[in-house]
Amino acid sequence: MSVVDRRGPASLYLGSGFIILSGIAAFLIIAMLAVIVGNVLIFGAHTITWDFLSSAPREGMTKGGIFPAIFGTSALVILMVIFLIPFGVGAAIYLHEYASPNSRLTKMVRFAISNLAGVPSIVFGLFGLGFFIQFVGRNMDRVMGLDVVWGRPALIWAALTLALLNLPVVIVTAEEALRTVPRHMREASLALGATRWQTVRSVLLPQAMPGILTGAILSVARGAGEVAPIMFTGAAYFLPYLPHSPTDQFMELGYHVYVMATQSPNIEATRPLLYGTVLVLLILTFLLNLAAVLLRARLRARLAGRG
Amino acid sequence: MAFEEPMVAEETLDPRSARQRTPAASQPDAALTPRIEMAAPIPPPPLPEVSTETAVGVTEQPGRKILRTRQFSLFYGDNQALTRVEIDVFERAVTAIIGPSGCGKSTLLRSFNRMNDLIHGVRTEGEILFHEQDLRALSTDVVALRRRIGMVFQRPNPFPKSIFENVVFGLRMLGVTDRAELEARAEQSLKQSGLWREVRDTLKRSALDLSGGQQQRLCIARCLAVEPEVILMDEPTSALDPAASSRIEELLMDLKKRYTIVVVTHNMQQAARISDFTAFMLNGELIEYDATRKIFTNPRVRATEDYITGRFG
Repeated sequence: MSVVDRRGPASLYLGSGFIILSGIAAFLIIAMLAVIVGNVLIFGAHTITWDFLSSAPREGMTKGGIFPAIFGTSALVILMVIFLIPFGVGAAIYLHEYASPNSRLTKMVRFAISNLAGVPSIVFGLFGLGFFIQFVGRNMDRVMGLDVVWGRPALIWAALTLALLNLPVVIVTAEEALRTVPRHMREASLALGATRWQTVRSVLLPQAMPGILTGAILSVARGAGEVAPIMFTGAAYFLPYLPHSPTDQFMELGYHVYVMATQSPNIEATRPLLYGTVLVLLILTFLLNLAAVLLRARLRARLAGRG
Repeated sequence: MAFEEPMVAEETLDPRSARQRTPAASQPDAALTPRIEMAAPIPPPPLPEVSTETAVGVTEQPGRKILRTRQFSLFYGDNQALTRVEIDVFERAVTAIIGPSGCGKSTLLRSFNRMNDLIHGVRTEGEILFHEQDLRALSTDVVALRRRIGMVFQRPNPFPKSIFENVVFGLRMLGVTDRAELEARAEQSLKQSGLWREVRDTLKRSALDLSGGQQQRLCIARCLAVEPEVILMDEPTSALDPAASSRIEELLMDLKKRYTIVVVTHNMQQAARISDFTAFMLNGELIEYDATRKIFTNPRVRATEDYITGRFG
């Protein structure tokens, strides 16, 4: 008895139809990116001059540059990383190396992390305002007998809020990176009389570093463009000076785009500056992503014994 | 003698059944093989050192006993992996542990440096004595224990660091920072493991560039660098080609002058070639333990003979 092919011509058409549809989907992604980047490049490229990058906005943001926003973004992101990486990696190490995988505490922590990742960023912004500024900051002022130094929007609170927003990403990527270190590496280290902490520090962290750094850089790229978490916690509409302490407010690229797009007194005059700012933000994000890819490739090559 | 009786049903010897067997399920088996079983249901009052019943007494005892297990059982959750194992490991000799897959030989080996601690849900009964001291009494210092009882694994597992950093890893962990001392010990360990001539000019290169056999000798050097008393080896040659394997075997013959070596192996010819004592395990039990010469020429237990002659396993 032979097996009869009961597939009609329809199945053939379905097959090629699916290929076409998935091809279109893939192409659309490229097209969308091309439209966004192309549009911004065409209208924004000529705005970018040294003067634009190095001077402050003038005349109600219809003239001048975006240097304070670039400076503020950098300060914000650096401060965020300082808070974010030790906490995130520490939590990942605890979860993966020390916590018993079946304990209720571990399960609760994991549940919290996955839910934290789903919280809208504006909620983080409001949380930052309520917790860091109203609660922590004001109490710090009261305890230290200061007027209002900590209990107001500031660089440090914005950085902390942003760190909180990115914490789940960093924990998950760091834990994933630790998971990729083979078990026999741990055993080799422990069998040589290393303590668990020595094993973490000398064997696991170096090998997990590519993954950890990738997560860190991606969180920076994402953090650089976030507006919602910082608009209540530290970002300023316009400042005539640069922040010189963590308790100062600051200007930020993403927030600056938002402000220029919605609050400008003269939309026509602001438009080229707006395009230029968006382009700077895109280039910054792109460079950070590129750095993540290159760094990961280099560290992987080094671990594999080449280079 | 029990061993002249007809052999027990094949399935009780099936290695796969060992893993699935729960303590409760092992009872019928125990009834089938009452005298081969180490785990007599009725606890025998003080066991004699040499028990002809279980055939685990060693007839020739050259060195001091450095490691001893006493009624040692180990459970992975509900699965019993080791049942009342009693074995004495002699100093400066090679002790081989043979047996089919899943018989518990690796588990026993990993119990000696408490590597099983790393696995969740492991529970043990009985004791293991190292220099007559209970391993669990050293519980606060499992780190120091592992320095004194080193381990070489089945697959070469050098760290993705330079050859030099691999060898001195254990020393660095102990807090040795003096460059001259590190270099001297690295050279000494690499000489002992027969790798020095091959790598003396490339110590800074990644250990991962070495061949499999060289990597395994590097792992042995790394283990020797912290000067352990005992070296546990879990099928150290099974991932290597024959030439690399025989180099490791020669190395073991050399190392046993200074170290006590316990080696788990699948390869019976290897056990016969390199070991002074051989333990045969089956289904989590130590079936027979004696001088290698006796085990391979005149085993006292039928199951040992069957395994050695290739009737199963």
